[in-house]
Amino acid sequence: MIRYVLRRLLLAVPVLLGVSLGVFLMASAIPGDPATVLAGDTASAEQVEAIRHELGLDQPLPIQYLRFLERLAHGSLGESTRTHREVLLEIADRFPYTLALALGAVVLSTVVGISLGVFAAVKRGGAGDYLTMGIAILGLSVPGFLIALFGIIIFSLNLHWLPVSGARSPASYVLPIVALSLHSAAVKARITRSSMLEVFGQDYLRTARAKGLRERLVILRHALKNALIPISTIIGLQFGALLGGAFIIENIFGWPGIGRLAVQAIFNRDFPVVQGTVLVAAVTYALVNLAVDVFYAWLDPRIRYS
Amino acid sequence: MRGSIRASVIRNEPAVFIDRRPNAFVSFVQRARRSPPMVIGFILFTGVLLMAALAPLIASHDPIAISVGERLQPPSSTHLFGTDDFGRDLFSRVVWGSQLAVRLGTLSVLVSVSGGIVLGLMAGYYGGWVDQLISRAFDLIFAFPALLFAIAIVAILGPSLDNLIVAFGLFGWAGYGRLIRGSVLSARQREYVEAARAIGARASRVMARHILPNVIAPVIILSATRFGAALLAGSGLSFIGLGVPIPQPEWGAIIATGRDYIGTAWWITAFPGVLIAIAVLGVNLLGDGLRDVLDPRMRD
Amino acid sequence: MDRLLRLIPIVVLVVSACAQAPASSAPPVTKVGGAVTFVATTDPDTLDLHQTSNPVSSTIFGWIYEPLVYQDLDNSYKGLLAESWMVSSDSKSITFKLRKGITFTDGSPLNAEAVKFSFERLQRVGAKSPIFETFKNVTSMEAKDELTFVMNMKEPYAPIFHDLQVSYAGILSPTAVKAANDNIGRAAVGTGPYKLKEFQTGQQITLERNPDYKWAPALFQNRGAPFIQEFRYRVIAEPATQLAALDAGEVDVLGLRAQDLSRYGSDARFKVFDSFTFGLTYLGFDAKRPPFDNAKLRAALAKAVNKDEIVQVVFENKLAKASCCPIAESIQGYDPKLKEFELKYEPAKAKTELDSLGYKPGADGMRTTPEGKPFKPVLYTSTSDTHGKIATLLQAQLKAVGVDLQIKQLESGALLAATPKAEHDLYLNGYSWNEPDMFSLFLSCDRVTSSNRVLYCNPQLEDLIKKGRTELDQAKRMQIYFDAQKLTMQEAPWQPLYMPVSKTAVNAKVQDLKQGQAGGLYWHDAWIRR
Repeated sequence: MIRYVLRRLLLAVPVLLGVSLGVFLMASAIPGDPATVLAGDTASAEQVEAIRHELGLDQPLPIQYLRFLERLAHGSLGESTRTHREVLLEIADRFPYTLALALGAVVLSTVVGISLGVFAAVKRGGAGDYLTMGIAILGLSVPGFLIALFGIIIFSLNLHWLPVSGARSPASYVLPIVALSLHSAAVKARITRSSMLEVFGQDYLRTARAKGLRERLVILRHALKNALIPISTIIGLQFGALLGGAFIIENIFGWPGIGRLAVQAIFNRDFPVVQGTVLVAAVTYALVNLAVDVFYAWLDPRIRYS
Repeated sequence: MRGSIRASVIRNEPAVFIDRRPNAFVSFVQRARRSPPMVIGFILFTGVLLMAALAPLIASHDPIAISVGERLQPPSSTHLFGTDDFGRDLFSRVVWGSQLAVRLGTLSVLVSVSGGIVLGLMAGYYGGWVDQLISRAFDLIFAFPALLFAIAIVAILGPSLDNLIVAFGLFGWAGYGRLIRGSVLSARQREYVEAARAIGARASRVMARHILPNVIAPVIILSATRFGAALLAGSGLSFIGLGVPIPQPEWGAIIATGRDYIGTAWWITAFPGVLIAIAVLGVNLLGDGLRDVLDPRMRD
Repeated sequence: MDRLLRLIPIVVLVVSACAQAPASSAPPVTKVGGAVTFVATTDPDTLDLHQTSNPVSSTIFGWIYEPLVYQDLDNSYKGLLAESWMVSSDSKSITFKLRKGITFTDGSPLNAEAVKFSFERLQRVGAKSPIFETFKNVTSMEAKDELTFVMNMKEPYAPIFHDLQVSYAGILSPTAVKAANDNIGRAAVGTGPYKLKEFQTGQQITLERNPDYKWAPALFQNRGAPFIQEFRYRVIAEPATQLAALDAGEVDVLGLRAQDLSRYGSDARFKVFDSFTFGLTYLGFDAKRPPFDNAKLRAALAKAVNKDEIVQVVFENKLAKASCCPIAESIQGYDPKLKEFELKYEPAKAKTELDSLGYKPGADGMRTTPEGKPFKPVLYTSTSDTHGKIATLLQAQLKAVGVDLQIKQLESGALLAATPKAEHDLYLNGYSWNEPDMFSLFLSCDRVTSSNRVLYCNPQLEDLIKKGRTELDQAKRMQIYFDAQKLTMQEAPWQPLYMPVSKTAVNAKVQDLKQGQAGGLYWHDAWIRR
C-alpha cells in the first residue's frame, strides 16, 4: 500500500511539471502582457517598458520559465505582479474559504444525492422513483448561477434570512454551498440509483436474502457498497474541481476564494498568481484522487491496483 | 452466448449483444417506445432541434432589430416572450438562439468525441510508452481547472461561438479518452479479440468491429452530460463578458444581460433559462433512454 | 467609469485643507461614531500609492494620504498640505510653503523632507503611477527648510497642479516607509482624516477615523477629525449582488445604473445625489488604419451616430449627457461655442457623403468599399455592460446607413495590447481626466504607441497641445484648447458621445452630506444618525 501511494506521488510530479509548463505556454500565447495591464490606460510606452524590465519580462521565455522553476525549488511561487505579495500568501489568504465551500458542497450533495438515489432505487418503477429522478434531472439542467441569483433575491432580499454577500457569518455559507451542490447531488442521485439497481439483479443479493437478513439491511449494505465506488470517483472529481475555485458563484456572492483570484489574475495577466492557483488546484486534485483510489482498495479488496 | 461469440468471430461481425433478428430496427423502436425517459427525451430534444431548423419560419420578428419604443415589454400577443432592453423580440431571439445552442452542444461534443476516441484507442491498444504519454496528458487536462482553460482559449483566440466550441471540445478529450481507453483495455483481454488478432485481423478492424461497439453506451451518457455542460458553461462565460459577440442571441448571453433585470423584466432571464433547462433535460433523458434500450441487461 | 468611487476621496481631500488656520474645537461627541460601507468593484491591489493605477485602490488610499493641493468648487487650486506657493518668473520652479503642525498618524511631522522623499520615491519606483510622466519633467527638488519645498521643472507645465492634487500625489511618512522596509502595500501611514484599520484580503478594507486630524479645509464646518468612525470598502464584483447588498443594508453607498433607477431612485431609505463626472465616452476611428485615415470618411460615419438615442436607451436620459466636444462639460476648457462644429446626427447626409466617397450600397442595402469588397468595419471595445449596450446601438445606427458594423469586445488586457497595433477600425471607450491636457494623453503623436488609442497624429494639433501644456496664462490657455477642440472636431478622430452622470444612492442614515457644484460628495461634515 505504501509503495503504491509513493509511486502515485512520484508519478504526479511530471504531471504537475507538465501543468506548470502548460500554464506558462498558455500565458505566453494570451495577448497582452502584465506590463501593459499594470501600466494602465494612460501610461506611456516608456512606462510600460520600465515595468516590463522591472518584472523581468524582457527576458526570453525559456529563461523566465527556468527562473520560475528555480524559485519553485526554493519553495516560492513568486510574487504577484499586481500586489507584490508572495503568491503563496495570496492563495493562503483565500484557500480556506474555497475549501469550506468545497467541503460543504461535497458533504451536502453526497448526503442528499445518496438519500434520493436510495429512495428512488427502493421505490423503483413507482411514483417515488419518477418524482425523485425528475427532481434530479431538473437539478442537472438548471444553471447554478441562476439558482444563486434567485436564492439571493428570495432568501436575502425578500425574506432577510441570509446575508447577500461575503463570508462574514455562518449563514453566508448556506446559499453558495447549496448553489454548488445542486448539480452534483443530482448526478450522485442518479448514479446511486443505477448502481444499486445493478446489484439488485445479481447473485450475492439472493445469497444474502437466503441467509434471512431483512431486506432493508441487505439493500443498505450490499447495494450501497456497490454504489460507493462510482460515487467516490464523482466525489473525487467534484472536490478537485471545486478546489480549483468556483469562479462564477464566488463572483456572485463576493466570496473571497481562489476561483475569483485565478480568473482576475488571468485578466490582470498576473501570471505568477495564475501559475500558483493552477498548481494548487492540480496538487489538490492529485491528492484527492489518490485518496479516492486508496479508499476504493479499502472498500473492495477485489480491486487490484496495477 | 458462447456459440454466438464463436460464430461472430468467424463471421467477423461485431460482438455486440444486439439482436440480429431481421427486424432489429423495429424491435429497437418498440423497446424505445416503452422507455419513458427515451420518449420524453426524444420529444424535448427533437423539439429543440426542430426549433433550430425551422427558426426562420417560427420567429415572428427579426432577432436583432432594435425597437427603442418597445423596450422591456412583458409577454403579449405581439411579443410572445416579451421584449428585451433594446425592444428586440425575445421569442425570436430565443428561437434563433436554439441554432447556436445546438451548434455549441453538438459540435463541442463531436470535437471531444473524435479527439477522445483517437487518443483513447491509441492508448489502450498500443500500450507501453504511447499509453503512458497519453494517460499523463489526460491527467494533465483533468488537473487543469476547466474555466481557466476556457477563459485562456477565448482570450487567445478571441470571442466567438466557434472558439467556445474549440475550448469545450478540447477540454473534453480527456473524459472520452479515458473512457475509451478503459473499454479498450478490458476488451483486449477478451478471448474473441485475441482470436481475431490470431487470425490476422488488422488492428483498426479489430478496434472498429470488436471494441468500439462496447463503448457506445458510456459514450452516449457522457455526450449527453457534456452537451448540457457546454450550454451551461457558455452561459457562464457570457457572465464574464467572454461569450459570443454582440448581437448573437445565444441563450447564455441573453440570460447574462437579463440578470440585471430580474426584478423588473423577469422574462429576459426566465425564457432562455427554461429553454436551456429543456435542452439539457432532453439530451440527458435521451441519453438515459438510449443506454437503457441498448443495454441488454436492462431488457426484460 | 467608476463614477462615485473616483469622485468622493478626491473631492474630500480637495476640500479638506484651506488657506486659514485649522480650528481646534473637537467635534461634538454625539456625532462621532457609526460606519459607512462602500462597494469596491474589484479587489484593491495595494495601498502603495506609487505602485498602482487602480481606481479602487486610489479611492481607498485617498482617505489616508493627502496631497499638497486640492481643487476647490470653482475649479481653482487651493492649498491642502501646502499653505501657499510661489511660481518663479520663468514658470519652471514652484516654491511651496507647508502648513505648520501637521503630523502623520505615526507621530512624525509633515515637513519638506517628507515631501521630497515621497516624490523621489515616485520617480524611482512609480512606473505604474498615472503621474509618473509628470515627474519625469521634474529635474530637481529641494527641502529648503523645515516647511519650504521647491520643485524645479524642465519646462513650464500648466497641468502641474492637477497632477499634484490627485490621490496618487499624496505625501508619505518617510519614517513609516523605512519601518515597513518600503513594503507599504498594506501598511499605509499618511496625514489624512482616516487610517487603515484592517485589510481583509478579497473581502473588506476597513478605515478608521484619525482623531488627531485638525487641518480640514475651511469649506467644512468641521475643521477637525471626521465624525464617521469607520469607512468600509466591501469587495463585491457582481452588479446584481451590489444592488442586493444596498437593498439589504449591507452596503450604504452605491452608484446606481439606469436599470436600477426605477426602483431605487425614489426609495425613501436612500437619498440620491447627482453629480457630473470628469470624463467623456467617445467613438474613435483608428486614424492609422486605411480607410479610416481619411478624415472625410470619419466625418461621414460620425454623422450616422445618434447620441440622444444612446443617452435615452442606455442611460434612461438620466445617467449621461450627450456631449458635443472632446473636453467634457465638467472639465475646464469646455466651451459651448464649440457646438457649431459638432458633427450632428444627420443620417441622410451620412448616406450621401458615403456615396460620394465611393462606398455605395449593394443589392442588400449594405455598402461596399470603392474596391467592391463588403464594408464591414470592426469596433473594438471593453467587455463592460455599458459599452456592450452602446455598441449594440451603434451597430443598429450604422446599419441604418448601410454600414455593417462588427463588434469585438475584449477584456482589458487584450484591448490594451491590441490598440497600439492598429488592429481595430473603430474604438469605443472613455477617458477620465480632469484637465484639458488630456490631449497629451489621448490625441498626441508621442502616445501613438500607447495611450493614444486612435493613433491620431496631426502636427497642427501637436503644436497646439504643446502650447497648451506650457502656457500658464489662463485666458490664453483656454483659447489654445478652443482651437485644439475645433480642429479635433473637424478632423473627427473622435466622435464624442456623452459625459457620464452619476447618481449615487446613500443610505438615509447619513446626515449632512454636502454636495459641491459639480455634484461631488463631501463627507467631512457627515455623521450617522442612529
